[in-house]
Amino acid sequence: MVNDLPGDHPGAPEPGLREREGEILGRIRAGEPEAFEYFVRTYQRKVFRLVYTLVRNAGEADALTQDVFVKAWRAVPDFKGEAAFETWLNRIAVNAVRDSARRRKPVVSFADLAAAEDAGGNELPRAADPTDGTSPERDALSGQIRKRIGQALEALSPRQRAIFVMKHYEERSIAEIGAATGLDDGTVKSHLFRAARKLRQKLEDLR
Amino acid sequence: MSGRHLTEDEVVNRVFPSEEGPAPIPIHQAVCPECQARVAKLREAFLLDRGAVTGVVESLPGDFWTAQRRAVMRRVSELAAVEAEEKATPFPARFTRSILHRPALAFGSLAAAIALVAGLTVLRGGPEAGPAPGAAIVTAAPVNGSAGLSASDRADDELLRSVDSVLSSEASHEALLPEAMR
Repeated sequence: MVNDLPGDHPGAPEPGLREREGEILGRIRAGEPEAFEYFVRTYQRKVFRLVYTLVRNAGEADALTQDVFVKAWRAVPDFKGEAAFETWLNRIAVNAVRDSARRRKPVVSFADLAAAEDAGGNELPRAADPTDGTSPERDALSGQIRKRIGQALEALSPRQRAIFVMKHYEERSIAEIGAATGLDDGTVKSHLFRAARKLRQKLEDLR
Repeated sequence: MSGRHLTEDEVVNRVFPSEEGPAPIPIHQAVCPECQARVAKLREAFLLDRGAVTGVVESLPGDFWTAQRRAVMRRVSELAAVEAEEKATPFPARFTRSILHRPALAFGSLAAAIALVAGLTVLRGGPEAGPAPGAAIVTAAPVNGSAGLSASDRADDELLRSVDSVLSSEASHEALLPEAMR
């Protein structure tokens, strides 16, 4: 269950978590790579959810999530423990998604992928859509709305999209978003404001 | 009705506030069904999308997470093995092996070295091609017709001429040296 994982509520970290994770990091640095599995097991769902919200493709999100953990493992010697491990992991995830977006222009757009997924075109299990069990008209409307939101998010810059998603989809605090993106609180708020304005323009007819 | 309708920005800010914590509800929105509907429509669309994203993650089976974890740990183990091997291997052997594992790099390095040697040979004109560049400059320096030269150039000319004359009269100086020093 996702909500049972430590660090799911950023405002109230599990007591002793930093110490326990520090001890596991020490084991990894001492040459015990198997100890890293603790971090994968603990954070894989959260990293996947963040990445998936940004890329909207389960297969790509899976590959990127794996890359994030491998990058994190390689960077463990440089991790100083100034931020929480999860915050550091989020930073790696945001950078990985941004780099991936830079490397190649998606052949299929965000929104098309969301629509294909609604049509059962995803190789992974279909989303548990909150509209399941309602009328076909409502399902179609839901698909349309999701497509529009996907298009609107796609119009944001990778950084703005990451900030917006962390705030409104992941419900992270401004301070956490700042730590994950390397920006101060004021800049994060400014990006959020600008992202919301862009979305407003894109979602004009939804209101 | 209290006040004006919410602007587009205000509607968006109601749903996507850039500040933390609950924003106070404008009095107008509290009483205006039209503005309430505009905010609700956007909020519903967003919650629908967010719910669908969460649904994707929560509906993934345990096997998916196990496979993902194993894939990560397999890559980590492979990298750890490579790193351990590199730490255990002394530097020259590591370098040689890296060259041997990358034939393109080895051939590229060889080609670059050959090109460098060839280039230097051409630039220097070969060992028997003629006098050294410095000598050529001295002999090419104009001795006569120095009217168009500056004062410092003329002084240089004079100096070169006197050096030449000293060198050419070296034999007569030798005659002045004691027998033992000749």
